[in-house]
This record gives sequence, structure tokens and C-alpha cells, in this order.
Amino acid sequence: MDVPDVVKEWNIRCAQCGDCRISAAIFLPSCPPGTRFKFSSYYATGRMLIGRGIQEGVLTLEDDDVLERLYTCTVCRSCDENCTNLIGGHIVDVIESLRQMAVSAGCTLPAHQIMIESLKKNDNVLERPKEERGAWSEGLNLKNLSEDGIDVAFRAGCLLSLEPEIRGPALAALKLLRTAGVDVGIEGKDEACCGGRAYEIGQVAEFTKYAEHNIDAYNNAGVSKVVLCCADGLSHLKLLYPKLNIKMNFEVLHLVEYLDRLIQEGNIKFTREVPMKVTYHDPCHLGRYAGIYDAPRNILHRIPGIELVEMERRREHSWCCGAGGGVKQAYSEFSLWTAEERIKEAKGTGATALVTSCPWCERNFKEAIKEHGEDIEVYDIAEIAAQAVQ
Amino acid sequence: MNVEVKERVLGELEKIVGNENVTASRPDLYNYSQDMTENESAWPDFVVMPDGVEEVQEVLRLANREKIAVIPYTYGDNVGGLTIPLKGGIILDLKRMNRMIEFNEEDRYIVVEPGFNFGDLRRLFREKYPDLWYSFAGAPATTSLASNALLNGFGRLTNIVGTNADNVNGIEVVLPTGEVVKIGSCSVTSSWCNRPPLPDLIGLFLGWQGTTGVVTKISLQIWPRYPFKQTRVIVITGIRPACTLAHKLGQTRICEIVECWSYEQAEPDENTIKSFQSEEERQLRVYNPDEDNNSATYDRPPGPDKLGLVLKVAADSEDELKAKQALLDAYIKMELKDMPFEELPKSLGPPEEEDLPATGQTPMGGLTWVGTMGPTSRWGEALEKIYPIYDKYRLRRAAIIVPFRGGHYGMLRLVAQFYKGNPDEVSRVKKCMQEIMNVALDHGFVPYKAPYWAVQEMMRRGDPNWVELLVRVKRMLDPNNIMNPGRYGDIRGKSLRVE
Repeated sequence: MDVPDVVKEWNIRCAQCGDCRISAAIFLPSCPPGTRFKFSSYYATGRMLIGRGIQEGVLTLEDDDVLERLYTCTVCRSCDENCTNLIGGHIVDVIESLRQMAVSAGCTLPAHQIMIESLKKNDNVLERPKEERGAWSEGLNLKNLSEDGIDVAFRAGCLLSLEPEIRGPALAALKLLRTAGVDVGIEGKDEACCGGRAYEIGQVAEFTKYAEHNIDAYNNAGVSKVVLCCADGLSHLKLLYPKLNIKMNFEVLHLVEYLDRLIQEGNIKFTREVPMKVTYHDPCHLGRYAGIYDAPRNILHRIPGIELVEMERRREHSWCCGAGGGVKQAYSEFSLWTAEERIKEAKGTGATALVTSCPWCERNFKEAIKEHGEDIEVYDIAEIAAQAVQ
Repeated sequence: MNVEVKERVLGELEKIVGNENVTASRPDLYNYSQDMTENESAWPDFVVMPDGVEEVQEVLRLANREKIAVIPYTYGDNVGGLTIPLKGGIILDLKRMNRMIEFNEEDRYIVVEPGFNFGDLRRLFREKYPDLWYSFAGAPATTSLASNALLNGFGRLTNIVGTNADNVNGIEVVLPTGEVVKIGSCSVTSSWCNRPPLPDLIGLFLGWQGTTGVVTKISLQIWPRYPFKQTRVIVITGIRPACTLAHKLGQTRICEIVECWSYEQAEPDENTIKSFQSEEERQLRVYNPDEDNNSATYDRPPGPDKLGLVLKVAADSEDELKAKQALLDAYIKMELKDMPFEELPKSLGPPEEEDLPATGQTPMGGLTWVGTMGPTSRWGEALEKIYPIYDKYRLRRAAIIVPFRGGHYGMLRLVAQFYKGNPDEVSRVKKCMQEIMNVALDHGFVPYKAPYWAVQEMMRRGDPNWVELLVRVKRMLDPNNIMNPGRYGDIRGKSLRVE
């Protein structure tokens, strides 16, 4: 189905009932932009209607605020989770299709244009020189995928590779994998962006270019598995890449899935105590997108000393961190507001640390904490788990 | 509205509610120009989100001075096109006013602002008051308590407590001219506990569809939540026996809920029936229709109608529940005698404790209805006339009947889902609904949440002195006809713009 067909097929079916605005089971707000800005056009129903208006020629992509309404969505899929009408995640499909229409029509946000230019020039959306990409792994004595016979590729992704403050999870993940005896290698400086953020902002051609490159690279390396710490990257590789119908000779796993498997197989044990009261944030791309809720909790429950206290909005009802869908780059203030809402909820549990499994969430939480002067620690689950192994 | 006026008014609105809470941008206005129904769209000029009574007063004073229409709005899910701004103007979106002012457990009432919704109340009950309940509608969790009550909405305790409008203790309302008035016991005491024995001025605002003022606080009655509940679904063949049983059971007050729904699904052929492994499978296939999601067009095969009666019994103890069930069995047996009926297995019935949202499953995007209230004794007679209208317009027969307050009156709701992408289907739905409404009126059933065309028809065929009184009341309260014009009390009709 091409882009206008997706829009036509699904937006006409939105009855504007409003089920998408609240998590049905717990009656708490679920849509960050709708909750923040409150006008109907900021909710999923509003964006569906904007699609209908564009389809019918009543609105145009050039109209004031149309792009702003389309791009303040973090594509967190809470609307899809709560919608009782369009079962199967079609709301975000429509929003992403509308963004693709906007890009085709030459309507892009300046902040996203910068991302795309960076992607084309540097193979990342973070405006970091390409040459810096491998710096995080220097001195770790890691195998490179160019070597023969490596079983598992660890994919760091843009953020873990290029943001020095967020490197911890990658280093911790490798410690865990090596402790478990996994034959692991990396691409290092040759690793390229997954292209997922480009897809989310409507730049499908860029996405396709990177997806094809990455599938080719992992197929050629002959790895059986690609493991990521990044929930965004996981969902893009696991759920978006297969839509290109290119054979992928490898399994895509998030670290928490793989670690849970390694624990069950007896390949790794948590023996050191990590005395900490934590709460766990389900990243949208790991939870609602990929359906992975139990693995991170299984891991936390197995770490001696960890007390896990849950937030009310958890698992499929998790509140978004605010970093996704290009919102962080284009609407930073709103992005941090969304993160701050989550931090307040985390603090309400009495936890001293907020644990997540995506560097995009981690970075946004840390920035919001700095901005608002909150007193709670933020960790990636890999960092906590790595403390528990000898 | 010319550009100069629009810019000036926009500036004044921004001063009242702040830049962030007013919009005149096209995607926003388009969003408030329509709803899920087949009613034609109409664009507002502004959407404004006040927070507090003073801001509402300021907006109304400005609108009065400029003679701009104002349409009170909460979540827009009324299924009557009631917030479509027929004459443009200001959509007064009240979502930000979502505070609970008082919860009085002792006297069992709650005072809330209009943005406080069903989800908020469900949450409050779950956290703090597990033994209390409200007559929740089968509606999305975002539904406003205030809007639901003010529009005569009903919930799932309706056979005991009536519509939610019957349970309003008091209101605070901003009049179209900007004054704030309290009505009910709160007008002369500090308590929001009761509505009688004062002259009942709440009638000036209930059922008026926001044409007489903006309600900014409402006190509503809270009810006990019984610990023992049981729901049964009985499927009856034939309109008359089903309607008669619903009518009689309503009057007994054994059930918290008596709801009668159409089941409009052709019976499988004989070979298919033989293939079913069990009775439960047969029922599952017959009563869970696998419908075409691209079209509501339906050519009904000949055959009798089947109607399902949902009966919920609630009690304080297991013994009471058993006694009520025995009584219910006796009534069913007595009323149906030798009539064919079957009871569905529990797996096919609704949940014991209904979770919101209960509706919203409208996969074709279009949902509308003629909702009416009238004599429960005439349900069967009316339905026999109404069902052929669905057939004429090639739509699926769909009715819900519900007794209110022990069957003293009740709802007759004729529903149509439709695919909004098919203009022919939309046109047939529109004609079908208009024809049905006339037949309903002929049988003593009065539309509630009535779209403007239904209001016009009632004002056309109603007692002229009643119409004159409506107009006088409306003019007294709203001399410039700014409040949701084109509806009750506005005899000038849709075509006349507020200038």
C-alpha cells in the first residue's frame, strides 16, 4: 500500500471517539503532545483528521501549524495501544505516512533538515564527525566484524557511539556479553546509522539506503545475531527492515532479550549485590513496538539487592520519554517536559534510580533532571547488570 | 468575520487566556468543525481553552460585546453534532477546567469542573472509594461527567437512578452576559447536597445543549457499588416479546441494568450449523458478527428479528443475589411463556464490572443515532415501524432500548454505523436517521442530544406556546443569541448568522 493509500484507508476510519487519549486500564493520560498542548489537533484523533483534511483538499501541508501538529508526535504508539477501532497500529502508520507526504512535497522542519544533512555527511543524525564513531571502543580490544567467524555483532548505534556521556551502556553490554562467553564483535568506525530516525521524520529514501547497507553488512559478516542496547535501533532493525523484503540471515535481539536467554541457559550469573531501589521505564520502541516487557524485569529480579518498584504507567501503558520521532531535535522544550512528567512519576514510587533500556530515553531523562534539578539517578539496565557480575 | 475583527478578537482572547490557550490556525479549527456523526461540518473562528470561572466570564463578555457565537466543548464525543459551530465563533474548550472541587462520601455527591471525566472518577473510586459507583455511560473514558449529565446522558445504573440529568444536585453557571449563578442548595447554603425544595432553575440549563450558559461546576449523585453482581444475556426471537419483557422487567426494579440490543446477523446455513463442534461455538458464530468493515450497506434477508436482553443483577449478599435471580427467572418464564429464547453462555456476555471504554468500536469511522426517550410500553410498536426504514435505506437494523427509573420512561436509540469514505452511504444514513426520527416522534419518543435538524423539527411540530416559551427563556438569558446558536430556542434557524 503506498503512502496516500495508507492515509486514505485509515484516517477515514478514525471515529474521533477519544479512546486513544487515556490508558484504558488505568485512566491516566497517555498521549504526551495532547496532554501538554490539549487542543484536539495534538492528539492522535486530531492528526488523523488533519490527514483527512489534506486528503480532501481542505488543508494543505503548507498551512500554518500543520507540520508542527504532525511533528510534535513522538510516535510512541500509546494511541495505537488504546485505540479500540483501528486495531494493529495504524495511527502511527498514518502519521508517518503524512510525514512522508510532507517530505515529498518539500515541507520539512529546519531542525530535521539539519539531521538529514548530518546523516548524509556523517552517517549519523547527531551532527558528529564520522571519524568519531569508533572512539568509544578504542582500547577495548574488541573483534571487528571484518574478522571471520564472529557469531554475534554488537551494534552500538549513533547515540552510544557518539555521545561520550552515554557510553556506559555499550561498555556494560560488552562486559556482560564477554562474561557470558559470547563471541562478539563490532563494526567500530564502519558502523552506520540504522536510518530509523530518518524513517520516523518521513525521510524514507534515507532510511532505505541505511537499511540496505546494514542488512548487507551483517549478512556479509555472517553473524547469527545482531544485539543492541538501543530500543529504537532494535525496533527499526527488527520491525522496519523486514518490510524491505531483503533476506536477513541474522536474528535481531535487544540486549535484555539476549541477556535473559543467557541467564536462563546458565551462561551468566549475577553474584554481586547491587543495593538499590529502582523503577523501570519501558521504552516505547522496546515495549509497545516490539512487545518486550518481561525480559528487563526478569533481569532486574535476578540481581541481588535490587528492589524493583513499578510505576503505574508501565508496560503497554508506559509514558513516553519524549525523545522519539524527531521531537527531541525539533521541539526540545516539549521533549524535556515529557521526560520530566516521567521523572516525577518515577520519584513518586520512592525509587532512587530510574532504569531504562534505551540511550535515547536515558539521555532525555538526564537532561530533564539537569534542567529541573531533580534528585534521581538514571541508569541503563546494562549498567546495573554489569555491576552484578564478577 | 472580517480579518480586522478577527485579529482584534484574537488579541483580546489571548489577553484573557494567554497565547498558548487560544488558536485560530487551520488544522485546529478543522479539528473542531466536525464529529463522528454524519452532520455537516462548520468551522469555528477560534478555539479557546479557559482555566477558571473568571476567564469564562471574560470570554463571554467579549463574545457578547462582539456578538460572536460561543460553543461550550469538553471532549466532542456527544454523537449529535452538538458542538459543531453552526454559525462559526468561539469553541470554548473546557478541558483545562478538570478539577474535583468536593467529594462528599457521607452525603454521596461529587462536585467537579466540566473537564473532569469518567476516567478521572473511575480512578478516584478505585483508589479511595471502592464501595461507591456512578452511573457510567458506555462511552470513552474521556467523556465529561458534566456534559454527560447536562445532555441527559445515561449510564449503567439507569433503571434505578434514571438519566444522569436526574441526579444533578446543583450547578454553577456563567450566564451568556457574564454573571455567575449558583443553582441548587449551593445557592443558599454552603452545601451542594440537594436540588429540591427550591424552585428548580436547573431546568434552564439541563438539556439545552449549551444554549443558555456555560456550566463551570456541577454536583452529581454517587451510588453504592454492590459487591455481588451477575450479568445474563437472553436472546429472544421477535420484537414484541423482547420489548414487552424489557418493559416489564424495568418496572420490577430487580435489575440495575436492562438493555435490549438488536442482533442483526443472518443465521448460518444448515451445513455450517452442522459443522459447529458445540453449542457455544454455534452461539459465538451467530452472535459475534464478522462484518464487512468497508461498508455498512446491508440487504436484510427475510426472517424474524432477534433481540438480546442484557440483565445485570446486583446485591449486597450472595443470598440476595440468588433471590433476585430466582425472581428474574420467574418473571422471564411468566412473560415469555412458550416464546422461543436462549440464554448465552457467560463468555459471550459483557463483563461483570464494565470497563471503560465500552463503545468506540466503530471501525468504519462513522457512528450516529437517533436517541430518544419515551413510553416503554410503546417500544415494540415503534420498532416495528422503524426497522423497515433501515431496510429501505439498505442499512443494518440496530436498536437499543433501556428502561429508566423503574421503567417510568425509557430510551429508544436507533443506531447506524457507516463508512465515512462512501458518500452514498453517508447520504442514505442521513435520510434514514431523519425518517426514523419522525416515526419515533409519532410514537411519543423525544430525541435527546438532538442534532440541530431534529431540534428544528421538534420546534416545528411542537406546541407553539412551548416553542414561544423556549424562545423567551433563551432571549432572557442570551439576548444576543451567542450561545451555541441554531439549536434550542433559536427559531431563526441554521441559515441566520449571528451578526
